[in-house]
Amino acid sequence: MTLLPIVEWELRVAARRRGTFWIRTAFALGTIAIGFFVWLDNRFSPPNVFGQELFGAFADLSVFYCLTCGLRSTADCLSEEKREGTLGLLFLTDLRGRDIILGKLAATSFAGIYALLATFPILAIPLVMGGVAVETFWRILLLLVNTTVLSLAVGIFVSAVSRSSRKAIVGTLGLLLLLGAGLPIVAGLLYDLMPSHKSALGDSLLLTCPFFCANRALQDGSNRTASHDFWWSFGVMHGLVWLFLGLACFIVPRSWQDRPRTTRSQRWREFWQSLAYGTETRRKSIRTRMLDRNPVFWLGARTRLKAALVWGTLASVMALWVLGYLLAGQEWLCEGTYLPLAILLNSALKLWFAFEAGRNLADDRNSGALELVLSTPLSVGAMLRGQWMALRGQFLGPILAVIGLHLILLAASLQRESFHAQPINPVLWVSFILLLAADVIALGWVGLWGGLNARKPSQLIGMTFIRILAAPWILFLLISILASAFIDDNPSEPVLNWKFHVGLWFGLGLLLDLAFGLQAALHLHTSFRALALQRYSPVPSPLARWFRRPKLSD
Amino acid sequence: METWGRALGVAILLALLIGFAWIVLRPHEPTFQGRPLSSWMEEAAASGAYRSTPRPTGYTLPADAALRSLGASAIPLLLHLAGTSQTPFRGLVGNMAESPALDYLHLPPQNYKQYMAVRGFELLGPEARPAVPQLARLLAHHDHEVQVIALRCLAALGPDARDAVPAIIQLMGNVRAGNGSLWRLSMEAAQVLGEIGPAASAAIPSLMVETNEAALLALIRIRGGSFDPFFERLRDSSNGEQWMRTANQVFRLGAAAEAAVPLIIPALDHTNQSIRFQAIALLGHIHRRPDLCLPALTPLLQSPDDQDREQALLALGNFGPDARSASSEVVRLLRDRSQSIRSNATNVLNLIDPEAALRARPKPKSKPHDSPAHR
Repeated sequence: MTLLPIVEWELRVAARRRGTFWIRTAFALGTIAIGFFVWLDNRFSPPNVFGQELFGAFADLSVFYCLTCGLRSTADCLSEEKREGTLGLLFLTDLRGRDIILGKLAATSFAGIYALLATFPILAIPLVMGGVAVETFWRILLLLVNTTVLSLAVGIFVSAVSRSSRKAIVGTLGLLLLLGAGLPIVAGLLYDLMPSHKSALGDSLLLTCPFFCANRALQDGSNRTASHDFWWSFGVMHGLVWLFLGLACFIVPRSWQDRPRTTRSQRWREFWQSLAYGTETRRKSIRTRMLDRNPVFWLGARTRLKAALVWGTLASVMALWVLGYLLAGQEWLCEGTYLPLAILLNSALKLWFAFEAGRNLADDRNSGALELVLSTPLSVGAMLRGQWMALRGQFLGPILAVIGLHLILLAASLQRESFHAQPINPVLWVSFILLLAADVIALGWVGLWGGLNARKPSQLIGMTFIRILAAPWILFLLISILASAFIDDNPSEPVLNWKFHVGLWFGLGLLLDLAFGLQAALHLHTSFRALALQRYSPVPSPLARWFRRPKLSD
Repeated sequence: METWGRALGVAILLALLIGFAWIVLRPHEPTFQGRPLSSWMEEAAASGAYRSTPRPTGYTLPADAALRSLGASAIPLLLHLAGTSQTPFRGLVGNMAESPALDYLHLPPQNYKQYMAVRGFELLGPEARPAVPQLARLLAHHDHEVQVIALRCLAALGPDARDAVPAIIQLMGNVRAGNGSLWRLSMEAAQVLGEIGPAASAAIPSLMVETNEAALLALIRIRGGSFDPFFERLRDSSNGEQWMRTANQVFRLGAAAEAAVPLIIPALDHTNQSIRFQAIALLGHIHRRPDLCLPALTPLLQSPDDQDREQALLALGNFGPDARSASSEVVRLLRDRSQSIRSNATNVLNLIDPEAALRARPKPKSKPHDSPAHR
């Protein structure tokens, strides 16, 4: 009898995959590059201080990476099988829920865990430098493995209860955010609002947060309280792993079957349909009007709930801000809350936009509907125009509202800066507005291009997020560290001020928007049909082509 | 129908934006010279004005000028400052507010709010009388720190805080009924009653029960008796703690403690540094009897101890022109090794001998292009 047959099969497949080994190399190189930049920032520090800084930076980044593993790997693994109807086939064999869950876990997480393993030897370098205790090193290693498994377990649990890819991804993100940030924020509020209860409830809410656990692990080994907190937090997170895996094993065999609709569920369905699409008369009038303008526009914009959800999210963020104002009074009215509000609104809007931009095309491509549309006289230009019209219908209002909000905050900033000789804030607000507009246009093109390229919805978000939103910040950080190092080594050079930093951030954002946006737009206009048919003849990426092992026949 | 719905949506959105603009842009507090009062006070806090305790008399902050100018309209802000509880989140914000790298965020400084409030009520004096009922309400606050600050604000108002006497009596009763760990509250309460004076006679039975020095002094002030028996406690400095407690109460009397000066001067030679510092500060604060104080304080300007020199310097500053005889010693401190002493010496010299300050001012060096050779 073979124990865990799917796990064994998946491990054999992964062991033969070239990417598995390249990922390990790439992660080791990436960790070394991060180490170089940490060294640049601490090169005048004694070795033990540098060792501590390096280890702390590695630990924090690794914890973040591990926490997002589930989002990348397991969030849509079971829901995708449910949508495609293949999960039921597995249950026709003598496989049990446990086999499927552990098999899926192994299959989807292999690359991520392998990449993490590659960073462990580099994590040990600070041990040689001093400043990091052996105990601390092992604790962090344990924590990283625990966090990875927790994240994967969360993803697989949400995937087991979901069918739609969007719900699975949003659910996983929500649950991970709750564990990593939501509960610590509630703990902070409890500390603040109810000081008398802080020791009991607030402390226990922090235990699910991997960053809290990392913080405790990085404390001095002789700190008994920190050690106690670390093991409790580790234990709680590990308990959650088994809880989520157990729930997933229990749910999977019960969630894949199609069940006959009851009157109640049918009524719910009709209610949601009328809410999303409107009454019969409305649907008809919209269809007539939109189809005349652009059929793709009608496909993308017929759901009125989409726009309502964006408005609802913006309203919720604003309501939280107003609640903060009501609690804190006029002290709330400073850039300390304005800037996080703007960053939150902009990021939420941009991420949503990136996802929506490519989702329709990705869904149509996967279902084969895109092929049907391409066989009609509808031109590529008209299809892209239709997509943009649908995006405009969903997002133009919220984007204008956010820009209006930024203008009000710009006015507040000008009002305050009239007696502070610091024009940094007005400049920041103008940059925010311009970058929001530029990012949205670039995200639209990159998202549409990603919709034709991405194999999975999580990949679609990752592609657009990394290109337009994360890359400018990463480059900004690296250039800032390099520039600061150069200035430190050349005292005759002028000191870097806010103009340099704001200019660099704005310039990089605009440059990458232009580069990626134009590239995506060009690709879409020139090779839309080729991209759409890629799933039948996949074209390897330039990077994959570069590392391809020559076949014997070559 | 759909057009109407859209128009309604746009109208609601516009209304919400206007509401947000109203929250963010409307003036929330009185302004002085175009700047909100809190901005003046935050600037003073950032410069460390509320951090260093002794400041020579006559030195006024721009924030003080703003407060005096705004008068009673500053009361709501002062009450807000006094009623703010210190929480971990506020502590975090306060630490961030002190970081120069985050200056552009304009985070409200948290760590000196209470001192700002007390200072504000001190400056407003009788003008702040309308704030007494709200300050009395703060005495029932769940945070003991807020209670202490409310008491200090009331103490700053002196006899004008008489309406708060019932609330103070009730607070003292609650403290007595508690576990006794809140002795600081009852001491602060007694001090307020002492500041109020005869108008607080209803509190005499409550004060009689207390055993601390503050209650003793408060009883004397309410009954209008002589302070001399109380001052006699300063003669014996063998019990350091008791001497310090008595000195703290004498400090509150200010110039009214003139009779205590001869009893304080011997403590300037005490081996206990805390007692010595307190004695110097007391003499400066009382700033009476220069004939006795100046010969005792001036030699301390040559002390090898930096803190002794600085405390004596500040104390002399409080005597103003009466301390002119010490100006040559103060001029010498303009070249002291301590930057803080040099800076304080400049201020003090301006106060005690403005002419000497003018003479001691470094002459501006002529610029190279101004010299005849460069013309």
